Amino acid sequence: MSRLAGLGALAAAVASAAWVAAAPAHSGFPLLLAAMGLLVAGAAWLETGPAASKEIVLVATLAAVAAAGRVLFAAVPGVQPVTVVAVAAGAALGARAGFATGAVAALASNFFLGQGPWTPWQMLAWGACGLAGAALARLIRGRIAFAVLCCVLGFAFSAFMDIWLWVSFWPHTWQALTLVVGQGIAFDVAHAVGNVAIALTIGPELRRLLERYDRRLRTEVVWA
Amino acid sequence: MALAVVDGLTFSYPGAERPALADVSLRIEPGEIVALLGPSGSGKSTLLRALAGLVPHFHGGRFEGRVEVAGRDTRRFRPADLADEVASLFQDPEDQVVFGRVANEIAFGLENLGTPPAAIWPRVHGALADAGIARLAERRTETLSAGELQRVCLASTIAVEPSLLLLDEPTSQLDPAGAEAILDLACDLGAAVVVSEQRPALPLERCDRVLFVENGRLALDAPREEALAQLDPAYLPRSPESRRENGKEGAILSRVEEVTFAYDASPVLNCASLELRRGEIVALTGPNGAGKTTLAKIASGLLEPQAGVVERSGRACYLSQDPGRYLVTERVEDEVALAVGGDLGRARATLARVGLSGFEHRHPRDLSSGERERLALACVLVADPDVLVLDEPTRGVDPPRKAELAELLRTEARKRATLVVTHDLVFAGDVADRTVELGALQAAHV
Amino acid sequence: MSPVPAAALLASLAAVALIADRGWVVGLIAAGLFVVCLAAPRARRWLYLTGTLVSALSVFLLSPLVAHTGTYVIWEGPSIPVIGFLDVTSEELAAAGIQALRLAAVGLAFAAYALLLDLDRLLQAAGFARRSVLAVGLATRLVPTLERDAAGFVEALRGRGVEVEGVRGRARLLSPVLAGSLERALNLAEAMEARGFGRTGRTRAPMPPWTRLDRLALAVAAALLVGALWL
Repeated sequence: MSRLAGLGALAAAVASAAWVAAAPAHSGFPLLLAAMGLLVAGAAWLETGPAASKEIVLVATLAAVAAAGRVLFAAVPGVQPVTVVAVAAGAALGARAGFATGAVAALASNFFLGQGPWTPWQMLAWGACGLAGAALARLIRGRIAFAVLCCVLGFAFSAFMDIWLWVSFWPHTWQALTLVVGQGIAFDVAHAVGNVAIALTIGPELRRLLERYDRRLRTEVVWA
Repeated sequence: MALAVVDGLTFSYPGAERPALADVSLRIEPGEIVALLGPSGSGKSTLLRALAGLVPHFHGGRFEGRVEVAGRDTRRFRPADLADEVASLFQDPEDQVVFGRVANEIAFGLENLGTPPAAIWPRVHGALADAGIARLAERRTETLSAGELQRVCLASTIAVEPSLLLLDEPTSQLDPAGAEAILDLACDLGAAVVVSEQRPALPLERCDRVLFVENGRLALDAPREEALAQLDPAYLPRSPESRRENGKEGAILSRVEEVTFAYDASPVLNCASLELRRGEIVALTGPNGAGKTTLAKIASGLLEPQAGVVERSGRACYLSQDPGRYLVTERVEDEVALAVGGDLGRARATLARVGLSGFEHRHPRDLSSGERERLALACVLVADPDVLVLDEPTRGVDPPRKAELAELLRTEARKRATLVVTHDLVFAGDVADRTVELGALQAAHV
Repeated sequence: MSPVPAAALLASLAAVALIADRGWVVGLIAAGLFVVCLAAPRARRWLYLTGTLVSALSVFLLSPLVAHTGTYVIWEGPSIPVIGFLDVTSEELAAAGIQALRLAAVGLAFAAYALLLDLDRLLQAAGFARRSVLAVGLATRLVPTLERDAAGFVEALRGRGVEVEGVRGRARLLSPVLAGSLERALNLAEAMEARGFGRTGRTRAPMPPWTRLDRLALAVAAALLVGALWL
């Protein structure tokens, strides 16, 4: 049942994307549909995980830590630990948990910082950071490599959000795109720099922590 | 027909050198109340988890022997499969609650078990009434106190109508009145109860049988009367001794006079006063909510009162209730050295004083709960403060360790003024020169 | 109102706002949603409204400057490097107005749902996406607990004479807060399993039945959507 729903949602997302390409002027609605479709597919993906409680509680906890951190640093614009936590989660716990951590962290922190049409896009973008962490897990063991990835993802995240905003609500001229990007440039840089700072300070520690708990997650019973 | 049978159980956690439980065998009859006692780390929690199936399915490890509950062998049945017959209550209610609304929290267990939907809400409200918290049904769980939250967790277990109720130090966050309430409720259910507690007096009053676990072995398994004769005297209930006031005339190191404090609208402390002299140990007792922690924090300088006078000379240190707050660094010696600016020499000396030599390079989170308590104590002792304030240092601490702590504090008493906030009147009698009782909103004049 | 009909109504309002071409339709929706948001408790609502309103305002004020459509020029400005020649036509202004109102409407729809939503009830209603909703519910519930944990670390450090200062100081707390939270997570997972989480044959506690208001909301939602797609 979950698989069916997931595949259905994916199909809806693809169809919406096609609609956007066909009629770019009215792209706000199909883009939102596409985002929702992808998120529903993501939720279905989560349902396919193990029936036991550990994975879901761990995702919720990591997301809560990322969300609490984001609220903690809310005073400093652009700086937030969600990217770093999502990447660490993906690297240590795998793609499904990484995606879920990023997405849930976005949604949960927005409950404290403000929900808006950007929420589904932030969920997808931070979920993608988790996926990136999982895909590149072996390459980012070192402190510097981890920080570099978080920096790149910081800029990618900002670009993603800027492009969505531009396509949905601004005139489709490149001057408008420049303006949108320019409006947020200070935040974008702060975001990337913040990611690097946090990654350098605690990135490898986070990874170590999650790996310490890896043993307790994948428990094995020896029957004698 | 026994409700639960444990036969030759030997279990080791993954990566552990020695087994947590070694060749344990016992039987539990329906409706029996069993007190489970023993030092920290002896295997009490592990035994409770074995009865719930959490060991080995949740924790992994090496499992030998047989555990059967209500006819189900835990080798074949996972903890979730046993949840209709076995219910557990753990130490920290915050780590058990899933939902934001009390009624939904109680319904969670019933939903998991496949209770027919029409029966769910009546059973939820019945359980809330049995636990005496029907008025909390619509409350948000984050607004409840620890005692109320633990009652909610107990109501969750009541709703399930288990035949075996396992309690793992459920009252350590509660004051004596709250603890009695929880245990009374649990024992009146009619289910078999196995309760593990570090304040042995409470379960010993109510139990039919006593189990004593030491180093993973079952050292004692006897009906109550026999057990009382055979138990280590440290575990037997005792009435508080009142210490004579020595009339010490040491210098006043901390003086708090007529202070008033309120966290929000309603005041917690009203014209409270307290004096601490060098060389004496003062115990501060009273029910939860009376303001003991607040007064202690004011005396040590962590809080400023809204009215009144605070005087202090020398350095003051405050030991928090929760030893889990002393796990900030990655090495034990670094953790201790935080208070003295990184001086590892002093840190190592202090670790020796509390009995943790050899632990310098360990990761703080690898320590057992008893070791963490000693680490926390070392973290404040290292600074050699003139005023030492300890907030509930005996929470969850086993009786032999309590005696050690009292000994350590008395040995060091002459160097400083010590204030101990505690619910444990026996400990207060042992360690303190005088006891101050703080009633709710009453002035404590000393 | 039950969560599902409320979600359906807000979703269809947002969809209509995005699809409709007539300014007054979008404006009406935005205004209506704004009023709904005002019904929420004071503290949180301004947090939610500010972001949306600021974004909408910037779209309205700035996008005419960078669009190049229309013929009826209202204002001509200087030429700026990169952006180019600044001018504002009435068509551009109208288009910007609609886009701004659209942004406001969608943003306010999200805000309204978040402000007035009872996450617990949504969790109860959730059928197929139960784990995701559970994760979100748990995460939201845990945030205040973690903040208290962080405050606890700070207090324990102050109790030993160590002050926690600045961004770096607070960043270094992230590690013990995370470590502590992982321990909490395992305790919570254990408690959940002990309560039967993961068993097959799970049932759902009965929800309060849908009222007439719920059915009306659902009907209005469907009608709006059909109307917008058709027109």
